[in-house]
Amino acid sequence: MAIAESNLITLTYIFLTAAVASYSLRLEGRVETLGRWATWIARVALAALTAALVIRGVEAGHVPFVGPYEFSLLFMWGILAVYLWMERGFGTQAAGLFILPIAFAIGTYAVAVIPDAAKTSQPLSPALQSPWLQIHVSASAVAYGAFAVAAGLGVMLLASEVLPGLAGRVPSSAQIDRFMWRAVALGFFLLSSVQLTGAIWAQYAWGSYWNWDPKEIWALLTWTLYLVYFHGRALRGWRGHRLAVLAIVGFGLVVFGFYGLGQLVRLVGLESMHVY
Amino acid sequence: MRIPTTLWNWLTSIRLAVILLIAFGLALFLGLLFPSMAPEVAANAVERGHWLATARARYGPLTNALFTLGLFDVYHSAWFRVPLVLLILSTAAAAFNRVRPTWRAINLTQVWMPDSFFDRAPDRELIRGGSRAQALNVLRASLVRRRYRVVVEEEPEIIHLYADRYRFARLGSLATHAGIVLLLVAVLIGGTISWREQHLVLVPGQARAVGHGVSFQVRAEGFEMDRYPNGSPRDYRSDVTVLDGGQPVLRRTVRPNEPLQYGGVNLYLLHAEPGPRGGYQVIFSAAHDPSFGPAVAAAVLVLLGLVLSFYFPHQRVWARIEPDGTIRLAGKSNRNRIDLGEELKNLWPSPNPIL
Repeated sequence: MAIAESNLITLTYIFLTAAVASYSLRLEGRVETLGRWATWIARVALAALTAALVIRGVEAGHVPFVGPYEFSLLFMWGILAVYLWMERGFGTQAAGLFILPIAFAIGTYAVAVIPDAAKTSQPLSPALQSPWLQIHVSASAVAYGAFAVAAGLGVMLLASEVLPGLAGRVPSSAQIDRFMWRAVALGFFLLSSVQLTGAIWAQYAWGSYWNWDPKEIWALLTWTLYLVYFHGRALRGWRGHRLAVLAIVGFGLVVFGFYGLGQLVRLVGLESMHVY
Repeated sequence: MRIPTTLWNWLTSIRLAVILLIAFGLALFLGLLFPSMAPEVAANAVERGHWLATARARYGPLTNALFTLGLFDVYHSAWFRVPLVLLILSTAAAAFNRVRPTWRAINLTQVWMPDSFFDRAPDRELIRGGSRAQALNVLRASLVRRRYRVVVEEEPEIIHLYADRYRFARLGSLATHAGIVLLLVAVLIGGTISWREQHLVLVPGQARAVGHGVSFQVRAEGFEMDRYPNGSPRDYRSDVTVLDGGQPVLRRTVRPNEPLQYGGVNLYLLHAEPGPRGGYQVIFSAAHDPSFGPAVAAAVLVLLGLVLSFYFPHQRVWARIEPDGTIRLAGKSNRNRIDLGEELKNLWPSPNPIL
């Protein structure tokens, strides 16, 4: 791993930590201190991470979309990018404290848990040499980021209902519900695109667009849960905390699909071509 | 007469959709909790016996019960098929049910609205100032700039205005639901008419039939592999000739991700291995699945519908311009009312050009 790249990753991590701290000061109402710079600190973290990914891609000669380390970095990138993009429409920075810690947790996993040996860039195997790799993986990173934003908003909605101290500092339940819908809608559209591009790729690589691979099944399960979210929204009494719980559970499925499914596959003795 | 109506209402209800989606999700999950027996194993008594003997080591006396309950092949069992089929039926029925109301909502242009509507509409605004003609011109220009379709009816006292945009995007929801039904039907039909040859062994230089009633033969001309400096494969390929009626008709280089396509059959390169009598042989798989194109088309329809429903809500605005130039605005959106409320606030240019 190049020095420049690893320095930029460290910088990302430091700025992400500072962003979480400043968003919490922001929520405390201490805007005169570090809280004022919360959004800018998060933007610097995103810029450093983008630069690290670009350098890694250029040095490897292929997009850095392969394996758990690179995907964790992309996942973090997706959360930061979707959050910062949506924050402008929120009209508040309150959600940052509930969303950026998710990026922080994934960043910690990438930096501290994944062994160094697994962080080196690998040459692209013939199976991955396809233009579909770029579309399929980049759409999934942004989709996962959007679902993380929705889950963070869900936590904020639940927190605002149980912690009276938050009243007035965070938007109303109805507003959070609408922001959450926007994030889920973006994630759902992208997850659908991920499945379509995955299916087309599978048709050219494996000979069938649907192979009952555990990864495909899990993606369909996640997709189905978000369908429950959309249909539940039309039912009386579902808006508010029930949808918030669904957004959190949905993101739990997303995370498990990437980090836990391999364990399940080994435990049960399933076969998969797509679990890492 | 009443029972079919009740049944139809139940079948097309969102509540049932939610229940079926949860059942479908649970069935998907159930299938991940047990190893699955491949169909070719299930079809062969000897192989099935071996498979179950292996499973017995893990599941003990429960093995036969699990097998009988279909849990070693959940996705072909009633656990999965029943919610899936009900979901297809309910989605199709709900979409069909929505065709006429959707079409009516698209074409409805109700310019005149009663007073009470402006008191009770979900989103309301009141703007004061100027003459009637000025007020109408400014409002109309603002709406047209935002791509609204504007219809005006003038009465001696009151001007009634109706404007809407993205009305055809109401078709988005229909497109999504119809796309899902078509996709699932394509997948189900594909499952019955497609075939797959997992292990097609080609000895270089020797033509062989693909099987499955396919008229042509295929012949591998060789196999080559390049490696990265660290030894891992960089590229491997095999030149394949297609022979139809004994004559070569096509020659292509086949790679991973680049199958040979001929006569509705795809030929995929897997790997090469030492042959039983020296030399080597190239292993391919072959597949024929005419449902791929229709399935992709249906999925694209789903995505198109999602974009329309998510990002183009049908927004309707009514205005009543009083003799003193006061404008009463009311709005309705088929999605995200709060956004329309903002829109109504911004409709009138600021600073107020009339006052």
